[in-house]
Amino acid sequence: MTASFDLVVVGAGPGGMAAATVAAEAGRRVCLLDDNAGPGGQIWRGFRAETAREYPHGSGFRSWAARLARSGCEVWQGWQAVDQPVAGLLRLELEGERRDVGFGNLVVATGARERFLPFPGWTLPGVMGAGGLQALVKSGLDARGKRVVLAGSGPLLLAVGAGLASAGAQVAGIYEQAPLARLAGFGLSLLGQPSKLVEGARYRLKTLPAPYITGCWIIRAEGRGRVERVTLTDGRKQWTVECDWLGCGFNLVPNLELPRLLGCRIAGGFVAVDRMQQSSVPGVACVGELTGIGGLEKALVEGQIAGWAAAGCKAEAQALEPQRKRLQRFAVRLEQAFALRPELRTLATAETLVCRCEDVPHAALEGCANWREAKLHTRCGMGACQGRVCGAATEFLFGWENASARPPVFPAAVSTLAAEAEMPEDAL
Amino acid sequence: MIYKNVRKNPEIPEPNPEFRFSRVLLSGEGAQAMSESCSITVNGKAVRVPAGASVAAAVTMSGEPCRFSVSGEARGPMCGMGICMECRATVDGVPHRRTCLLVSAEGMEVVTG
Repeated sequence: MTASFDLVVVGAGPGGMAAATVAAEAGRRVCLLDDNAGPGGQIWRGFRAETAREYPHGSGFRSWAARLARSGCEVWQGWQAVDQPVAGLLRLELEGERRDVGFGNLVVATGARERFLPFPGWTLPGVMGAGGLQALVKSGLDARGKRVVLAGSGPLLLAVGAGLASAGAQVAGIYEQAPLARLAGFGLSLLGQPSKLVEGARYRLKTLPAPYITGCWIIRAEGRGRVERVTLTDGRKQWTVECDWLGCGFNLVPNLELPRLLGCRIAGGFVAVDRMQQSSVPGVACVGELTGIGGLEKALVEGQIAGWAAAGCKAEAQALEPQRKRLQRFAVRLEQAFALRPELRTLATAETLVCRCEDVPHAALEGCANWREAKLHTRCGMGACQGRVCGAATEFLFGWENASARPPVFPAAVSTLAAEAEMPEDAL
Repeated sequence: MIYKNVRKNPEIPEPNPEFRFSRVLLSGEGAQAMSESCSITVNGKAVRVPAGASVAAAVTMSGEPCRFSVSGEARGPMCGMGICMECRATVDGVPHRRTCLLVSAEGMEVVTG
């Protein structure tokens, strides 16, 4: 039998948890599904209600997890949304098992991933995303005594540095590509939100005595069989730092695969939504990083708005609008402050792999006019990650837009894809 | 932050130095949680990890690569959140599992490459 709900929420990070919780509290039948083992998304990864007070941002997790547990919302962990076989029905998969779930309203809260850019040595074991390294440490990787270099861009670098330092790693240096002048301007713009400045200062203190150097970027990683050292530059001089791990990510990009599959209109790299978080597809709302990279608070506010809207509680949703506006302005300022410098387009040499799934080197892509041509001629983006890594890279490197989305949005068993759509019993 | 508190907690015993424990997931749950570790094998090599640790964390601690790329490069986990597919490995006979999304369980057998 196929289950059906008034509201299905995809993604159990802060935005999804907030949307599911408020709609369930308002009496709607809600299902929250997520491909991870537990709720929390990335920022609250590995948190547990009993201990969350000890984590940064932990109190928020504690209260939302408690509300979610009491709300009557069904939570399906481990399930991956792979397709929409017919309108109003999502197809899910877990360890080869298939399940269809019907929905009246849908909230998509699939969050963001890091943008990875190719540079010589970036495929060596030990080179990870900055957030990727943080996620692994949060899920049990022993960081004690490891020498770690963090490079790339975004406020995440400093947060990861603080987390790793607390986990016992030796942070060898944090290297931010954005110039100091731009970051100082960003800092000034936050004077009205001192909590963000305090948070940044706390992270910085945690990472001392490691240097935090702005206006510089990685040019290569080297080592025998795994990363042993990285070389950085500020455009004038170069220097090398020894390390066991390199965490390197260049800001975040939204996980647009599911919104694209559903037909949501994308504008400027994000899902276009109205004041109630509704996308161009009736009944489908998108929240959090999907509508602009703004972090935890924005996701919580937008999630609540979408949850209230799905429950028909317009006044409650409207009451959050001033907060939503303020946080969206923050998202815009963030994007401007950490905009990527053009030098980063020149890091890859001809032999540097750009597509890690199909091992397509930069040289093979140089003659291609667009993403589609690259896929057809070189297999770039045709591997297991479906272009999630090289798509975001080539968007920056070559200006290619990867606008297509076809099922499955994640690799799935043929039997999952081929099965007839089962309509929910109460919908027949 | 969390980990610091853990280290200050006198109720948590020092880990067996033979194994490279992470206490990240054990915060605040004291000695009881510490006993909740599990042993899995990575290419036949035993690795002890804290309960709740991801298989990708265990593989990284084992020193083994997760997979070899189509041109033969060794690869390890990268995104840590289930999108890059670099941490794929065969777990209990099932190929292509994203080990970063998978929680370690006692006796689990992981084969990489």
